[in-house]
Amino acid sequence: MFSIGIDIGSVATKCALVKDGSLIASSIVKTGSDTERSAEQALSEALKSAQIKEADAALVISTGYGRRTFKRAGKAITEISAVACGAYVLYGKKSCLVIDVGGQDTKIVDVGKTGQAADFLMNDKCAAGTGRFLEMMSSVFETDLEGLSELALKSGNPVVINSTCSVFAESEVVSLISHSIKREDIAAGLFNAIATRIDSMIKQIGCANPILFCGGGAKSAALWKSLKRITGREIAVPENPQFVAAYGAALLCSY
Amino acid sequence: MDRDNARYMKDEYLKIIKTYLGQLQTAHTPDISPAIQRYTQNSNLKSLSFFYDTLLKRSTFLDYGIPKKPIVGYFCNLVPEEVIYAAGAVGVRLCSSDDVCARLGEEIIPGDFCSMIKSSCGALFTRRYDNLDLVVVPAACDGKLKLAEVLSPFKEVYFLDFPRDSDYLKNAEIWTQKYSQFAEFLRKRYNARVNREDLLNACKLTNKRTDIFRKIYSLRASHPGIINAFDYFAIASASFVCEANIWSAYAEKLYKEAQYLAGNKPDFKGKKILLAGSSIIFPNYKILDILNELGCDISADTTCSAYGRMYDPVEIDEDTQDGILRALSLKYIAASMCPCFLGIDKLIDRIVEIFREHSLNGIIYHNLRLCQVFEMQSFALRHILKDKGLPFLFIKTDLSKEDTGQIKTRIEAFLEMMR
Amino acid sequence: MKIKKLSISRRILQVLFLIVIIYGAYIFKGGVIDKPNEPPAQSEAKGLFPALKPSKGSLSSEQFKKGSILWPSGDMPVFENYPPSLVCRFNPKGGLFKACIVHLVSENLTWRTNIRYLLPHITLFILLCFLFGRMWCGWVCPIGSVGDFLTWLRRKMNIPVKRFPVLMRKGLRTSSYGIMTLTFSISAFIGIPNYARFQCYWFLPYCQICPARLICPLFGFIKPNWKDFSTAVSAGFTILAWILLGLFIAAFYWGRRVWCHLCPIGLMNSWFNRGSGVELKKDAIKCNKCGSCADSCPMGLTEMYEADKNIIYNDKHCIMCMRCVDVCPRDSCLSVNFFGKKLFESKY
Repeated sequence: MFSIGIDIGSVATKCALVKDGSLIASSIVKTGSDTERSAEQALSEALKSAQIKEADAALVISTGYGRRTFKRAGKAITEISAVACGAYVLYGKKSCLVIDVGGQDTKIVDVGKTGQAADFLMNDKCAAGTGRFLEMMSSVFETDLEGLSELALKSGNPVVINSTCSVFAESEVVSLISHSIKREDIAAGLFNAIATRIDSMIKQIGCANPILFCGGGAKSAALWKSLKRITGREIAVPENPQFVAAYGAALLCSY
Repeated sequence: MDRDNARYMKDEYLKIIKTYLGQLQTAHTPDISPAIQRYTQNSNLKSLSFFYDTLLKRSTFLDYGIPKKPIVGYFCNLVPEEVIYAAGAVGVRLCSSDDVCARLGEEIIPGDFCSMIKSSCGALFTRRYDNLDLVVVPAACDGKLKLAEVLSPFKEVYFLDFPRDSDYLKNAEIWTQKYSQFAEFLRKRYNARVNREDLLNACKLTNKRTDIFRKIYSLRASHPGIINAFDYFAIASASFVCEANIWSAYAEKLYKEAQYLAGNKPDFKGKKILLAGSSIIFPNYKILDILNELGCDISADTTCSAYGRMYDPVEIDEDTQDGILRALSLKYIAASMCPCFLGIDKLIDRIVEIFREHSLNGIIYHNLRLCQVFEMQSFALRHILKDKGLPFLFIKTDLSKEDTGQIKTRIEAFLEMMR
Repeated sequence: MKIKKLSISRRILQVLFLIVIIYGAYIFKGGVIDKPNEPPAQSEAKGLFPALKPSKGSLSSEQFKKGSILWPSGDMPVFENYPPSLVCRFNPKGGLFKACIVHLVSENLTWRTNIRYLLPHITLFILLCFLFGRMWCGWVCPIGSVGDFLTWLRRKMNIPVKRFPVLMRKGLRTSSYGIMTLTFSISAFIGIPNYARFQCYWFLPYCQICPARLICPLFGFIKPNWKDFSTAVSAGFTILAWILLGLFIAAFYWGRRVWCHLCPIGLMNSWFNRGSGVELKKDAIKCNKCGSCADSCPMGLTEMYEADKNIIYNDKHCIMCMRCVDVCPRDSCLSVNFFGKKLFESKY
């Protein structure tokens, strides 16, 4: 038997098929205006790649901000528990601290010894310091997240950007560009700004556990590097950082 | 006391502001009847209707019938209600959490300011408070302090100030002195006696209220779900605008009814939550709505609108006039858990005690956005309670409904965490 | 408002003890007839508590005559005992018990009584102190009850209480030590055979100035010896007695139990207060820091309020009136324990 976890995020919908604790298939689609349809789409894609039928699945668990819209799911859990569970298993069933930079929010989850979240912290109601911020900034640079990340990695002398608010930062970036500051330095500054913000959240939660970095934001090597430098701690990134929540949700069947 | 207490601004400034205000229209009171209807449908107790009726009746116009008693409004829990009663007036707590009123208040108070203060200020612009004779503003937080100034063109304001340290040893003399001054002011204004007997009688009224409130509080804690959280906070909010004796009479009835029901009520399955932090006042039920939807009950609270307001009695040792005023100051200020006072150990002790006594499941610390004092102590609270192994969630929100989804996610994750 | 059970029972007990101690000789008919004019020789101990008698020729009986400052205004008491509260030998008809501990010690220092006879009395004193601590001050002492009546009167007159600073309390306790030392050293000094001539003036120096000497006879409608200007010493004692009486009334009227800091009997009692059977306990987590306990303490003590940890409280100043337990509005925050067994706890 296998189980299905669907993580309906604000940017992408991820689906993970898990059998005996290991990922057998996964898919990712963009979350459109109809979250239910994108969930269906992600599910069918994953099933197709694994070549199994949905009827064989033990349970479908939905998570993410759209978890309640996907009515077919047997169970809906919050992304916090899902991420905690996924990270716990990925990290060899040890307690750890998870940084999840998603599209709409940034979560810091302190995972306890049992694989449950012991404490968590989320960003405020606005999108400051989240994946959405990075996305908006990359559009200023007329590139995508990978492009922005690559740009930032080339920088030798990052500028200091004070704001993580998407609107304020955008005007700051525009003014920096007009002052003919190097694009690489500005990009690196943006990643530093987010990393600083995440660092203060880590300090607020006050946890010394090893850090696991996941979510869509973890795909950016520049953010990972900035975080390592600013927190001064070792940070591990799993293979498919985006799927941690979906994987965790699927695992939660057996837990 | 030589100077008129309302003179916060020079006459010329007052004149300019009044001229400007003359151009503004008096706003209509926001209609809370749909909300009341919604919440009355949920409740299964008959005696509750009085409290919702009171809220509805007094929400449009404050009227306490004939003989006409002067109405004295006050903010916070730091103003001695007993002294107001002793002066033959009716005390009305003006703290408001209405989103519509908050937007009214924004005409005078900057937008990025504590929504409770905005709302309280906005509510005072409405027709509801035309009858109000005097507003007593205590020096709780900075917002309240300046509110006294902002309100002075509209109403007569009495400013009650005291040190921001609730240490009995240091400040008991000052509190007594301030309370005596307040009593003296009311005595002059209303030609009342406000003597020992009056104060004793008033204390009996409020102690009776405390008595019944405590009964309801412990009944709720031991039988979760018997009086749901909406009704509980509605009862507490009704006490803002209801005379103590009438309130106690109806609350007694409610208690009896609930007690009768408690005998054959199935066990409550959901989580029992302790709500700490900012006050929950009637129309602002966002958190309660979410918690209700997720199937848990607020079994206990330490907010200043319910527990903080009515749990502590007046304990009179010296039954002289000064002694009673002193005892009042002990109840209102020394025992206060308001974060505007120095020290959070009282609050932590209370949370831990209530949590363990009623074997609750988790603590939600509710913080109205832009209330610095509540927010600043959240860090210490989080870590101290975590150290003691109590599940703790910090929620920052305001009166508007826009962040309902996010808060729901947080509370849901918190509930999953406790499993 | 809640019924203050402890305070009410304390009032009742205080009145009962006042009646029994002062009018004891009327009620129980003291069988012992004192003949102060014929001091017999030191007799062998009879029973558990021997009657302590002056040794032959050590003291003239002149000063016990009517009109003299130490005129006892009555007969001998019912019991030859010295309980740890202010039980006065100047009670009408002698009262129920003999006298207070200060009287016992200073009298026998002068008489140079053999410790063998003294020991049972001292042991009883220590035992009673050990059992109940300063409850003797708060619940039994007739003079304290008189003072509490004055406090009650003040409250009825709507006059606010005066709260005295900590420094004053310390000063009063130091003075109390001074008074006690002076009393005992004078008593011991005049007991030396060479200086026995001073005995007629300086015998029982504290009794001569104690306000109880003036107040207690009034209960039997006997005029106490207000003034004795026969000698310079007795005139001095008379004036000191007046001052102390004034202080006594003022202290009780305005300051609740401020006097009890000065009382040397209370002082000797207080040595055994810490570790006595009766003790107060505080459960710190239940405290809401309202300060009611400190506010209501007639001795003006604040430690109970200040304590942030669970404590057992029986400070040397605490008279165990348990008013704090009575006014505390928190359920089972403060409690009264007797050898670790909870007797009573604060309740809303």
